[in-house]
Amino acid sequence: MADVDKRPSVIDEEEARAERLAIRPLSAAAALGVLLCILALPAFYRPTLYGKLPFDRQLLGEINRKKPDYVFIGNSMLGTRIDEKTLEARLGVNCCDVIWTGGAESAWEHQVLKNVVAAAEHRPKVVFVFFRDVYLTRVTYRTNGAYWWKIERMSHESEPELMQAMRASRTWQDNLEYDFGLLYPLQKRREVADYGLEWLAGQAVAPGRVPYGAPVAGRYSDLFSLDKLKGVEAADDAASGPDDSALYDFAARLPQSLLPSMVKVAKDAGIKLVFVRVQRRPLPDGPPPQSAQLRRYIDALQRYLAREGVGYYDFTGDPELTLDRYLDGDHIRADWKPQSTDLFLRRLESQFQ
Amino acid sequence: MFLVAVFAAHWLLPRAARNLFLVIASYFFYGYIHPWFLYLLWFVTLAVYGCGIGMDTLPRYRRAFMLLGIGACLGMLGVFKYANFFADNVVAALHGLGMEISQPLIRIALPVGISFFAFQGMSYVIDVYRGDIRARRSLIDVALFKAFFPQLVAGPIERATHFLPQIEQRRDFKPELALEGVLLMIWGFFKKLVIADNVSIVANKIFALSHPAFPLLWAGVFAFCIQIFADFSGYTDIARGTAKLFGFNLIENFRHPYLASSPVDFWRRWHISLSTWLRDYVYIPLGGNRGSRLFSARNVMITFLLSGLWHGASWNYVLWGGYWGALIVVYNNLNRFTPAWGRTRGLLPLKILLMFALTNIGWLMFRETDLQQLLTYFSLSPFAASPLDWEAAGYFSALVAIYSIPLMLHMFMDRERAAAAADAGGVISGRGLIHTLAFRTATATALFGGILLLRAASSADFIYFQF
Repeated sequence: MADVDKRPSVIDEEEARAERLAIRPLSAAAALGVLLCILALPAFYRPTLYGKLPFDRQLLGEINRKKPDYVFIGNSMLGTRIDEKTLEARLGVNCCDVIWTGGAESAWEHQVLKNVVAAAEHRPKVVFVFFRDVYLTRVTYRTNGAYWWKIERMSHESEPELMQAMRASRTWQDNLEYDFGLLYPLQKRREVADYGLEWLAGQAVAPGRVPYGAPVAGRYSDLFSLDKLKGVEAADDAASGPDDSALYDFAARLPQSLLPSMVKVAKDAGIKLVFVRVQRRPLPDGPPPQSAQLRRYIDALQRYLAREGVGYYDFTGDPELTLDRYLDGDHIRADWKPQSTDLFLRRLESQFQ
Repeated sequence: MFLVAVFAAHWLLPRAARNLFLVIASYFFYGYIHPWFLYLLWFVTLAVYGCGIGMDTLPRYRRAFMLLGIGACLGMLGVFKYANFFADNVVAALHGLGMEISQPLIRIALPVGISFFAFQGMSYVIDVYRGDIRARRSLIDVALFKAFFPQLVAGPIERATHFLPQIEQRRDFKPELALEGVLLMIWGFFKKLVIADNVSIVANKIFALSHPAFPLLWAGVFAFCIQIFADFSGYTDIARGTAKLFGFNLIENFRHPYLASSPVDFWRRWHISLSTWLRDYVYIPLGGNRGSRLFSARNVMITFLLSGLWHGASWNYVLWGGYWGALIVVYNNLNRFTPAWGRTRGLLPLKILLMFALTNIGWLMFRETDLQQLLTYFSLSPFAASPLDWEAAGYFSALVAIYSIPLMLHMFMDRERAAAAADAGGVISGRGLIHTLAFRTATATALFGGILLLRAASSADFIYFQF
């Protein structure tokens, strides 16, 4: 197969300049073996190195101390909407417990309801669970990597409902990511590394004024407020919901989700459960757009909850939740948080009697 | 999982079956998400294979077969990559003339990697026409050249003269090549998952602003500059590393581009497989630098405008290509008048710094697809920025710089390796700390630990997949 090389190829010129590494095949095989062993080492020692993160008793201790009548569970959409101090001012000290963590979704909320609220010595009267769109039945959403570790911290050794829901809904990519997390527990220290790098960068601009662990970028949040972003409507379209139409089939998604388990846990514990649907950022002249399939999904969800005797409230289209109240697509501006809490108390007044 | 299975099966199979197996595996890889994209790949493969055979068997019609092969590749690119762009511009132009017509109802999806395999197909046809290689009779070999999965979707754009002989020759498993491959892959994944994905958070945050202050904008451009290099060169390293596992050597695509000291030097270091492709198949056939200065400048501009258009069907890419063409024309002419300046070694750091700044201006054009917004960016004044803008820009730049430290260390180590290779006639003996196997293995382990500890919470597609 001799080629007719009439003129030197540029690639050959490149290769001619390229260095050549003189390694004996045996040494290379040994190095390759050592490298692969090092990379695979955690897998061999998995029983001793890997263990589920321990159940975090802090939230349970707090709820046992406070003995609140009203508990709120959710993610940052709850965190930016409901102000515990305002609640206490209106309903009394230790009336409420607002339990949220950034990025949490239905799996985390289920674990908190089951292992913290329902397991507390004092049962609250009402538990409000905040959600958006289809995420109550999108059970694997945000359940990998750091999100899974948050779920582990709210879980005991045996969690059959959670694991069954995960098995039913995880794709092979989800499973790969999950197994990777099991093999390499080092990932659980990622937050520490993030803090370290942010702190280092913070020292460059404000030496000595940026404490370790403080979210440095938060100092500049005003520079990135909603009114300064471009393509707000385009961003809304992109974020208005997942594209996969299967996610809007409520009847099909319900059995795979943790929603029935949440309803059962609340009933068994004698707790009144109310699901609160938050409103995405509205348009300047009206509520946020909703696709026909999303509206059908919400109707089906409402019918299911009504059948189960579970409360439901939808903030979509609330005239007081105008565009200027929003920090971004999902979050309310920090300075409007007390008013947002008041709005909640007014709209759901019947739940507090 | 796919890679491990294909790797094991490839080496367990008899030699005669390996190429066919790699073709099937590559088709599975490419067609996994969108099976119909495979038809395009098959179309190009059959077209260039057939044209090659045609040139061989009917020499009188060599030119016609060559044009047919190029036409098939360009036609496919025209339909699937540029049709929407063309239609949008026609509608806009007619609107400008006061004629209203509606947008076409059908939008054509862009198949991933189409520009890469179209260019690779054209290079085969042209090389056969020129007589640089013989037309291949084995469809499997040509199919593997067109579809080899590690480099199918984002390059490097291989040449038939370089890759086909490797496909045809006997391949044995070589531990030293496999080791090199694994090391390269780990480095590539580190660049993508740790550097590119983390700095992209900064770039995306800043480019979401409609009117960023001057310092913030350039902090965002700096972030994008690091992101695109780490992202694209990361992919190339993964592709080259994977290819080594199967006994192939793909061409080098990057050589520390941000150490370039001139526009010409930059294109010898950035996306080398594309820039040499354009040089050999566009610039030189156009006449290269043979002729007047004006003629040479015309050829440079055509080549770089095409380079811009290759990247994407959008005017900002054309503008980006034109910008680089203009830089090279200006540099070539300045160099004629001030040759001593070009040779002064003391000025090298200054030239690298200047080149880095010019490269960043180019990246701004590349990143922002809205020309109106681009104009807004270029009208920003540094004096209108507040102290908080400057502080935020400093913070984000510092964060990006911290993530870039491994790239800088790599530059240093490569310089050392190049120096050692030069001293030893091109062969590194393995002596010297950074050349030892132990050091390299330890570095790879540290990089792997870095991936576990520092990778971004979410990872986006490789930027060059869209081209």
